[in-house]
Amino acid sequence: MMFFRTALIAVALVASACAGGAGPSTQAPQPAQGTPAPEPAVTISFWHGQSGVLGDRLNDLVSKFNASHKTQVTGTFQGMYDQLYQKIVSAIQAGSVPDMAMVSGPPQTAQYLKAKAIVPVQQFVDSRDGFSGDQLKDFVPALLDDNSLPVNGKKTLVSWPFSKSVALLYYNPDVLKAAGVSVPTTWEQLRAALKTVKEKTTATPFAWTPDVYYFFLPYLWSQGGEALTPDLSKAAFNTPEGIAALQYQVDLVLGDKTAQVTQGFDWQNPFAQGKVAFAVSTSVSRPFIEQAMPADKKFRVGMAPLPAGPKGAKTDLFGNNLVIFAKAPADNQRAAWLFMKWLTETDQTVAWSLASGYMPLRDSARNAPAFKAETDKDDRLLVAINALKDAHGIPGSPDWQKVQPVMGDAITKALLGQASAKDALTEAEKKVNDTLSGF
Amino acid sequence: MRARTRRREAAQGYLFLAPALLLIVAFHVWPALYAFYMSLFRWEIAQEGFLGLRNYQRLAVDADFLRSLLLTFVYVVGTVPVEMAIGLALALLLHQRLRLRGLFRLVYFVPYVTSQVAVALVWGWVFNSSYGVANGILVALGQPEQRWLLEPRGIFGANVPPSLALAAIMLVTVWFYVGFHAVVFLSGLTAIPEELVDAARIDGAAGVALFRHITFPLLSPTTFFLLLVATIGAMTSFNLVYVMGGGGQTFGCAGNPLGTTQVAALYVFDRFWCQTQLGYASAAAFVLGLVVLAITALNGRLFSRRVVYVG
Repeated sequence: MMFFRTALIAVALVASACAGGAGPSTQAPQPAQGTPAPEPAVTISFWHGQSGVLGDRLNDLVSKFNASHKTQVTGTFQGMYDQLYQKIVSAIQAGSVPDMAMVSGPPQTAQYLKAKAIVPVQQFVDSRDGFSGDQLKDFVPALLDDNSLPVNGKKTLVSWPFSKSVALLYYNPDVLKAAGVSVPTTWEQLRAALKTVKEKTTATPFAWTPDVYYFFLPYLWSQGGEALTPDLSKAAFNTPEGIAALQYQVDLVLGDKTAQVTQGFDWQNPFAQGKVAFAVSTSVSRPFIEQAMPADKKFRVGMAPLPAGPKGAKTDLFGNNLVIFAKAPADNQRAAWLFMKWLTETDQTVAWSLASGYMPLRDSARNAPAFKAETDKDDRLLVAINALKDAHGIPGSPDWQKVQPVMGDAITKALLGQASAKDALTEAEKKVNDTLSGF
Repeated sequence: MRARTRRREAAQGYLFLAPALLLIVAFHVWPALYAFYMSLFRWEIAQEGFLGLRNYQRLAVDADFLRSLLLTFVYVVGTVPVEMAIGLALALLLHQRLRLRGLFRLVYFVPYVTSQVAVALVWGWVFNSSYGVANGILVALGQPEQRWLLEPRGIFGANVPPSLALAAIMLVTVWFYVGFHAVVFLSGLTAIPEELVDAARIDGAAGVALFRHITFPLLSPTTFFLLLVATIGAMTSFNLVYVMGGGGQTFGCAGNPLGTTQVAALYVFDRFWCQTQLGYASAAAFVLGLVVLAITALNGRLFSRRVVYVG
């Protein structure tokens, strides 16, 4: 009798575990019309890459959500973006992924999508829990583009925006004033301004750590060029626009000698000390620069959009997006979406933007009283927001991580004078095409 | 009865071995077998098609992989003999009856017990091309500044390894391990029987002759041990090279500038984590493991016969 009862309990436990939906989701989201179903009373796991003050502010948001919802979110800091990525890749191997996570841009999203590890958020956007067309229009179009990839040949929202920033030009207004130059708005104006700063002041005209994102891609896009072909199957950077983009940097470093090449973020301290006229970084760098300023030599950090080319001013879109994992049970997926949706409501996107320096994701945020109060005090917040309309996402190729170092090496070679811009890009083009064609 | 006792003894033996064996199987043997399994597939984030040995065929013609093996060879040859020679010289000095001998031993051993990442970060600042002490010294001496860890050009010729970046890392590697070699050599020196040294002295040996005919041969077990351990360590070296070889790119991965610091362990890391080619990187890791095994066996074959054991 005892044995029979134990066996019965075991069978019931196994059955309930199966019914609990530990496996992949099979339940389709609800259609767009009608009243949404009640919020699922589940606890979802959220892996993120925000630490320090940003981590605290994110935890505040999570706590606020938990206090007013049946769904409970457990946020876990899993390391900076690289470590977070490594942990997600490991979790995919082990088959034990969280319900949702941060992802650092379209290439990683494309990898997860290719591995069928995530579900496109489009199905939730289109569901009763989602947005109407008008509501969706409140989101900045460049951000929705940044989160869209082709699925079955159709442009589909696969991830959801969260913390977004753009590359901007930083300048020291005091140095510019001493040199008698105004803030440049085109690439040629920037080059001329650097020459003037060199002639008329003792400051380093420009200090930066060159790579694909800091100047090559924005310059290329501003000329109408692209890094990869539209179907992402081949290199597209070995063109007159690409050569011009690389030659521009070569001219600054080897020709005019107005640009100092640094390592990592080593440009930041000299810039903060007032020794550098121009630098380039993301829109969230300002607090770091201000923190590094000596108490007796503070200045107002100038921020401007990257210079424009014939096709306008283009800039890289950085930061992170959010994804939902395919292995999560259906209720957890829906709960994850509801949390994402809440995170990007106007109140929350304003709170997060003001706390973190990332940009608000919606047009309505600009007119929100809390945000307007801040921009009235300091209009530099608007520089990044205004640059958003010209933002260009990083190519959403799952192979971008193989392509980017090859392009980086081409830039290094040209800047060292080891190869001409044309030769460096021709060599990189062959290597990238070999990589993209598989084995 | 005797057979039963023997079986019982054997069982006890296996029982004592079990904890260590379990750990070795769980964290070395099983991952190695699994890496080999992964290496047979096209495996990016998820497992894809079966490739057989095609990943290995591709490695054989992969210029980046072959370069990483060459750089590993250069790194081993440029660090192991140097740190052993300096370590031995220091051990001979510290073996003398010096004042503050204990303090000197401590000073030389301190780098070895410091975190490699911390060491690499500090030395990274020393060699920073814009603000580092190394360039400050060069300028004070009236010499031109160098790009150090950003410099892919070779120190013996533009395209001849090691690059200045790798050479700087090799210098730090030697600095880091010298104390370890000195301490192990010192224990080897202490173990040499005094009566053998005294007998040689009575026979008229002194100075270089004493070292050449008595001390060095009797140190050979220590030398052999250090050679094996240091070679394996250098061939799989990662921390110092990874942290110092960032190469300056904000978004770079492992082995910059221009791959000139990408030794084999970094190549594996780069292909695994930065390029997410899990199957291909596993094949490279497996080949690296075989190369280390082969070199260790070769070392054993070449040097073990020359090892003199006393006692």
